Amino acid sequence: MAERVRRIAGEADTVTQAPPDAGALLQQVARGDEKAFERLYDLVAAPVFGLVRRIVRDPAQSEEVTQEVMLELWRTAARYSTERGSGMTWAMTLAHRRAVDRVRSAQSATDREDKAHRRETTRPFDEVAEQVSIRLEHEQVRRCLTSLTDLQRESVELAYYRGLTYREVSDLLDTPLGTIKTRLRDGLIRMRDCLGVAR
Amino acid sequence: MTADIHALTGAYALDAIPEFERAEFERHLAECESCAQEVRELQATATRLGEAASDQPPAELKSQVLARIAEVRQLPPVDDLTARRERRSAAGAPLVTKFLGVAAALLLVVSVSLGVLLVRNTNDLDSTQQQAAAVSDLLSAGDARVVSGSTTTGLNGTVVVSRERGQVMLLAGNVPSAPDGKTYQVWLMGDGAPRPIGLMAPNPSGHASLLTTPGIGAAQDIGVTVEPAGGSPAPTGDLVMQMTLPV
Repeated sequence: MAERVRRIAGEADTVTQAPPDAGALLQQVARGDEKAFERLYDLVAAPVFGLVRRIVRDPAQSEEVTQEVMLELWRTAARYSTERGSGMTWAMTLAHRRAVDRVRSAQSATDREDKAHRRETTRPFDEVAEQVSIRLEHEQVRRCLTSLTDLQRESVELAYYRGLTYREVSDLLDTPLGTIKTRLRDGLIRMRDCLGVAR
Repeated sequence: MTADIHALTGAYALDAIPEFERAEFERHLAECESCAQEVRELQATATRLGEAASDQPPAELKSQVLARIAEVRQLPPVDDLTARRERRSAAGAPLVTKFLGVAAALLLVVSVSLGVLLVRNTNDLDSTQQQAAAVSDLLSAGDARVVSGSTTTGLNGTVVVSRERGQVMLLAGNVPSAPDGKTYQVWLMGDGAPRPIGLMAPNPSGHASLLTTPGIGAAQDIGVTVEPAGGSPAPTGDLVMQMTLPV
């Protein structure tokens, strides 16, 4: 995913090349540095594409959205500041939002058809949630997800990886809205503490 | 701060709140530092979930993206607008006059339209102030072009286009309310199949406007149709307005 850390040791003027930081790269990109943008691409393209793909599913559309996200990072780099969080969070928040916009605008068209045809099948959310868990590459994230209650985990996964609104999650899990809102927040807070995300 | 709205930090960090609630919650965030801090932490947490799903995109995507950035103008920093205005004043009259010359014709339309400016890119444009900034921002694009016209049915339209930014803003006047159960939908045309770019509702004074996200491509026309509420994937209703976009 990221560039390997290269450490060149031994000389008096030892150079330690830290892994590139998305935030620092964004600040260079803001000044029109195309080389920095290329490094930023190498750093964030896989996480962005993976997330978009998880939500959008369709490979061609996922590529389109990924491209939109990368161009938006280029275009809006000057709007990034470290106060707004890490560069990776900036990129992934944008990616998630764009992927969700894509599925929701497609959804409004499908919903109308659904109404005409009457919806018959319920969505097999267990399967989806399970696939998501199984395919998670990062052990720590997977471990932390299992520390959530079932309802917290299902809610977070349906919202984040499927791009559902909390109302849709509430429908799907047949659980009151207020409960879902709380579970989403509690679940994320538990994840935050388990992952040791900086506060 | 009510407990109820505070509970939305999780849903917000996961983009799990509907559009209309998002805007309201963002107004709340602007006034609640502890909520904003929690949102930042939860977004960082969500990012970890996202990174766990990493997957290499096809190699050719990189060259496509790198080729495209040559065509995309970068936004200035947020507070740059003020700075630029000051620089303009300092630079002397001719430039200022020129800028005002272009902008003045639009100011009236812009100021009445702002109240209902429909903005698709809610990341950047959450408050009226930011919307106003977006309008000025597009007008300040090096290649901004403005065209106005009216239809035989009495609708007025003004379009601001920047090909560099790939953005279009449509400001329409004298627009009657859409019939019950219908909405106005705006399309880019002449570049393959018509592409929907948003829904538009006039305010009580008959003004309506819409700013696109970048990516207008080689579209030649902008058109407005009447569609069933919620919009259609392809135009089905009457074309009530069509304007040619300047190149």
